[in-house]
Amino acid sequence: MIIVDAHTHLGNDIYAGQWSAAATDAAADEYARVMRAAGVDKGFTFTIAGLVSDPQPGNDELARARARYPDLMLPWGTVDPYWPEAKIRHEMRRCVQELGFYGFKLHPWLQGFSLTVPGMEVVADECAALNVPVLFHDGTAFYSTALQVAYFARAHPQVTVLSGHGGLAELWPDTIAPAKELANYYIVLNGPVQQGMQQIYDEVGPDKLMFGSDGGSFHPATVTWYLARTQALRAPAEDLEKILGLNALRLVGLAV
Amino acid sequence: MIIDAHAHVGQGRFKSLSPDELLRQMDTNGVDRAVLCPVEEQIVAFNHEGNAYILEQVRGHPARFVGFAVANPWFGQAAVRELEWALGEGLRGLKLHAVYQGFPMNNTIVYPLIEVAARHKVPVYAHCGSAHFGEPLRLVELARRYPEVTFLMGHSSFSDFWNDLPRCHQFAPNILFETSRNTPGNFQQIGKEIGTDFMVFGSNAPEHYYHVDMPMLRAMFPDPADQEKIFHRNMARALGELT
Repeated sequence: MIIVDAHTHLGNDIYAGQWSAAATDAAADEYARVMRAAGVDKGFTFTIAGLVSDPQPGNDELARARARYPDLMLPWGTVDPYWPEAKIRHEMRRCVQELGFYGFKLHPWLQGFSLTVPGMEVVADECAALNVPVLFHDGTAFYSTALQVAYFARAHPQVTVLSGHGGLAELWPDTIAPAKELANYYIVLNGPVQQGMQQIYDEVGPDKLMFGSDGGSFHPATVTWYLARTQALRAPAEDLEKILGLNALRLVGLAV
Repeated sequence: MIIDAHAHVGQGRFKSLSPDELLRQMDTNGVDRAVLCPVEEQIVAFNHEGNAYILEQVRGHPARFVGFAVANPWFGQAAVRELEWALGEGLRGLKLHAVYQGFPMNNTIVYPLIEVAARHKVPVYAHCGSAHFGEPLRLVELARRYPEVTFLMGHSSFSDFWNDLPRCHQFAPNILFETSRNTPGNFQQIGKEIGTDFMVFGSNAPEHYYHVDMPMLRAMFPDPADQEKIFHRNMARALGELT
């Protein structure tokens, strides 16, 4: 069974006394060690530093790290929707066409924007043109509620949208109806309570759900715990195989 | 000795778990005792029904179960009387859920209930982690007003209030941080910036599984002394069983 972690971050561990979350080579090595120890084959890899400071160096860090671990890392870039339109379009095209990234990760509350700002129309337009998905942090008031993300998906049916946290501990019930209704809306099961993960699976089915941990730069238990939680779903083996890896591979066009 | 500081039993709209099933899970996973709370309808409206049910479970299994009472502060003096009754009968703490019960956690409406808890020298568990009513700094406001009361911050305020937790501890050292729902990255922060003297293991059963969450906490805090604090000592102290 192939295991793909659909929500990981690359960067120094700020809880381990690092001032900067910048992704050094050592951070990439640690990421690889943690993922391999957990039995994860591939990760959708996101920046940390690029979400809290300048996105472009964060994207470049990801490209460097992927060159170091090409089989493991599937990088997703980021942009700032408050940039001028031309700069958003240029950086998104650079990420996909030059750096070979697989999608975009945006974090509305960390990056400080609403999903309704004009720049997000540009992001949606480029995602559709480049045929890549976009994943959002969700589950947090006031810029990142589950419904704000779901309504971005509803407003942009041509864009594949991922709920990056399945609404976290409290807003997960809001992900269920959109996942059943919207063809372009997917859920990474990285944050709902265990009972919520089960209910999402029971109501949505296996095809739009993905394992994710938010791991890679935090304590290794971040990955192993979410993996154990996903494996603890009451679901047949073929459904778990989809959720643990096949759906993520299919989403980025790597399914065999 | 392992204490689960927060579990729900009963038949609720969202949470349903029989005491026998909880005991089975406790036995399977080496959990000696659990602190029981009523389910959501009873937290919101049917307080007496919930408290009576929890009392029945505690009396049936006094070595395994400790019970916390619920009282919705909107019931005013009736809530005060209900809490006095429940604590007098043998429940040993107050559970508040500001979102379900519909009040900002630091609103004056809840003061009379905290004063009952203070008189009975029992801890107060407060659901936290919800924007507005359940914001952790609202609990800090309450905890600073009643420094003699031990408060348990439900879920260590998961989801995204992790930024505020060190400040919560700085200004309200009478708050313990309960672990259910929360994640390894945040425990890393709590352990480092607040310390294991203030962490309390809880499952929020039936929301989570012991067999998934307990190994994670042990992996993160491998020192047996830390595990003893998180899984037992800190909650036993909150219950007044240890000094």
